[in-house]
Amino acid sequence: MSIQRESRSHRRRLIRLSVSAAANGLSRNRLATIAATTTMTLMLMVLASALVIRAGLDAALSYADSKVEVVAYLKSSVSESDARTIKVQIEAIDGVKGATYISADDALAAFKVRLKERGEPDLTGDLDVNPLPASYEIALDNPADTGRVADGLASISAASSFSRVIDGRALAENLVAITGALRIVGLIIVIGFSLAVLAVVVNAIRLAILARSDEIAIMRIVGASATWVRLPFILEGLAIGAAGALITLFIFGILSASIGTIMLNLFRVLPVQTSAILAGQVSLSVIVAGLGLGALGALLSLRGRLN
Amino acid sequence: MSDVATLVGDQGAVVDLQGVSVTYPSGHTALGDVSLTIQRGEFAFLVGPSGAGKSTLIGLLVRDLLPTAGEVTVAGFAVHRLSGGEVPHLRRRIGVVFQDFRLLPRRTVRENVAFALEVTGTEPETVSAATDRALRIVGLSSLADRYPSELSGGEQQRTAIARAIVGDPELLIADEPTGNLDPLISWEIMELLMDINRLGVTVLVATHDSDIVTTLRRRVIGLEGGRLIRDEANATYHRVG
Repeated sequence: MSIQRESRSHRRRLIRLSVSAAANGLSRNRLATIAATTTMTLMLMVLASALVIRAGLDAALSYADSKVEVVAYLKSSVSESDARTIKVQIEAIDGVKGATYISADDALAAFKVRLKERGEPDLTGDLDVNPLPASYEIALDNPADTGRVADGLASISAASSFSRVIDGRALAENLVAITGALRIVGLIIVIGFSLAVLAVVVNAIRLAILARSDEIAIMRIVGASATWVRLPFILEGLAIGAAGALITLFIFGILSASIGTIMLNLFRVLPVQTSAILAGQVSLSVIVAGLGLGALGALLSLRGRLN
Repeated sequence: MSDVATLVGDQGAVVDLQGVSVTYPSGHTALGDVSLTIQRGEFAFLVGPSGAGKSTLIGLLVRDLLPTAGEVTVAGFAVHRLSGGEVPHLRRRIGVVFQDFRLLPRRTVRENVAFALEVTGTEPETVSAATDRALRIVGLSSLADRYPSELSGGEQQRTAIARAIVGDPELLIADEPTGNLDPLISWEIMELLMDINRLGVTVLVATHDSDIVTTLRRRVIGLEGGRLIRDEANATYHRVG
């Protein structure tokens, strides 16, 4: 028999015996296994929720970023032909991507559409004159430049034509602050749960080691290598992680429709076409985190115990 | 297989200790400056009162302990400088039998014996043949499918001996093998150990049983207070004169 074939069959026997020892260990310490799997599942649910919420926040933030712009309202005394000449001056300001002229009529039309969408009565027909001013919606190269562009607007020669300049700086800063805080809180919760999971997995594997201490002592004295002694316990940790991940994904699968609706309500801007990518990312993260925590828990339990 | 660098020493000696000491961090010396050699095929008793250092010596031979000074060579392995990964290879060359048998209660006699080879990755056909042979040597072929709880103390110890020799070791260490057995069964176990010795296996028996040692008149290695106080051939349990 060639050495290669021999080592392959050696590996096969190692895996077969380790899997059977791991299965025995898990069923013998049923209570610890259930506790570890339940905690693992809870942690992975928190992780998956955090990832979904983060994706929503990211989408909201990037939507808000794309919408952050400076709006310069024109005085009613400025004629439409004068207003059109200002466009060149605005677009010359550093950081401005483009300026769109919104006439007073356009503004009124848009206002009517919004009222209709909200289901509110349109009372504008009662007005004799259009109360809305014409404006320039100014798109920026970089949303963080709102302040600089607003300052630029104040310094051009046509500055006296503006009745009011509104920049989206405050909105952008608020959104960044809120999402930043939520990210940190989410991270702390996920880390906290991960530590709890590690503690429970370590406990479960230690119980398994204790239950098999006679067998381990004999394995050591007859010359079983460290891999043969350790592998069953690492497999037990991986099995707990895999079970937690599968249960989490199963629950999320059932809830996915409701989650989609909640997300849509919560972040009206979440693009629907990203949900498949998001589901893939969440599934991968849950599986990797489950297996990683299971294996890490097993390795921590084994540290210094089976030398 | 193990690193050639760790395979050293006199090929005729299975155990070779040179100036070996074991001192614990507390300052207690469990073994002090012990030198001894056991040749291939020998049968020796290790005697001494509790705390004499017998368990420490056995711990050194199976590399459960490391000496704080001196050199330990067992079955060609330089135990004092053996890396962790090589320890299993050393232990596959040594069989160990304990006073309390240490059998796995959920496994049959055959499974207990085969276990020693299975967990070292031995081919199933080899495991099966070696297990049959070991059970034949200890006279338990007919009880192979029994569980340890269905056996007498003597039969349990025979199972433990079968497990210790199934890997065809160079050295068999028996640590108080008759401590839990009545005198008649003790003699049966000693006869079995001598049979195994006649098959070419070097046997070292740590015991308190003065009748057995004195009657068998074999080499006696005596420890007391961690020191080697006697090493005599064809000796009795107590030193004569």
